[in-house]
Amino acid sequence: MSEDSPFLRMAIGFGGLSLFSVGGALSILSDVHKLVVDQYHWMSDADFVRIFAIAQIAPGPNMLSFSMMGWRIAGLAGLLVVTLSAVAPPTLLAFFVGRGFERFSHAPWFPAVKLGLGPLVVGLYTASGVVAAQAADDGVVAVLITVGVAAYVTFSRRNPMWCLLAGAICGGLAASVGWH
Amino acid sequence: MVSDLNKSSSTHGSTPDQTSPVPVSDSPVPDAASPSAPPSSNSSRSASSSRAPTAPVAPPARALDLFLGFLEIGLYGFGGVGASARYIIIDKRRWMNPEDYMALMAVSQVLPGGNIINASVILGDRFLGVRGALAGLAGILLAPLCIIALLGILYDHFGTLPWVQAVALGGGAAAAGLIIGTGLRLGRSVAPTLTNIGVGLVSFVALGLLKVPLPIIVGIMIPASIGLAIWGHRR
Repeated sequence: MSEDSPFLRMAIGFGGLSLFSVGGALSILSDVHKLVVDQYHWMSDADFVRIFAIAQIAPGPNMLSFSMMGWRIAGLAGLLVVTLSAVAPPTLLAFFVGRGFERFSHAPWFPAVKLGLGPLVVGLYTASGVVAAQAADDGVVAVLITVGVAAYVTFSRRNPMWCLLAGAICGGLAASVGWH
Repeated sequence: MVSDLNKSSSTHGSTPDQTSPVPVSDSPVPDAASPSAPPSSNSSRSASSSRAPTAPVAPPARALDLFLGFLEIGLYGFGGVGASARYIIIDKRRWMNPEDYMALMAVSQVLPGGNIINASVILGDRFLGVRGALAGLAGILLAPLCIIALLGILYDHFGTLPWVQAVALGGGAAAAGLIIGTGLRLGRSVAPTLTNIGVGLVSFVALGLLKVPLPIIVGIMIPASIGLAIWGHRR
């Protein structure tokens, strides 16, 4: 495989980032955007947010949103390469850490680790959301959808999937009457 | 806690014209995959021996059971797999009692990677070794991946239609709001101490506004934040 093979780049890019996905896949969304849009120009800003949104509506772990980006980049092979490289590194780590599970979760320092990661994950998630919003929000209607959903998800316990569907319908309706 | 199971019927229906994205669902769902569970989950571990579960726990006997259980979790996990995992593992299949589940999720959340993906591997390995880990992982990934591939095919064919683009971009704007809301929601469960607010703000500004690469942020902020938490704990 040559140096500039897109598969090697996908494997290194997603595989490396996956080990920094503190709190879950959403933490690395901003850096994934940098990777697939800014660095390698595999897709446009608009493509990036559309694919992420469609993948979010599908059931399953968030990490698999990146699999759909892999599909967009290189079809089935891209999907498999991205999935493997985004899932395998943290999974292997979890496997070996899990073997020390009992000692680990009862260790006196464990609550401090959890407490320390909390505010970091809050910062990373909101930042990733803002980066996604910058890519998605091309007009007043989109900004209103983002703000509305953010407020709703912050304060409601209902299933967030409905927000995505409502946002999609609002986007479609607004476009059909020419609003922007 | 049942949450996700009774709502897919109305998914394709007629959502009324809405100026603000108010969902039409009637199905309450607990937090999807919250990386920082409330502090109470730390103390509940110690109670695992004293509080008996309401029904007997039945660990998965075969790798196939693990595979099918996580297949269900993946398929039910609309809008996040956190809620469906809890329902399947504790309530439906009774693999674990709530206390053990909390401890499992705590470890899965502290590690990098998807919380439920990590949990599938740790839980599978715990009951059935390497075979179990692979069965759990295959179960959680298989069905969603097939759906993703299907959506990818559809997007390749219809993604250039103007109305598809408009609808997907509206969904993207909502997805961005969903991520921000998920972060803020987690923030509500974090104690509003000066150090916590500082850590949250610094990581937000560094990643979102200054575009500092994530490995640098994580490399600096994890030791700093955990150190501050330990320091605050001792005082």
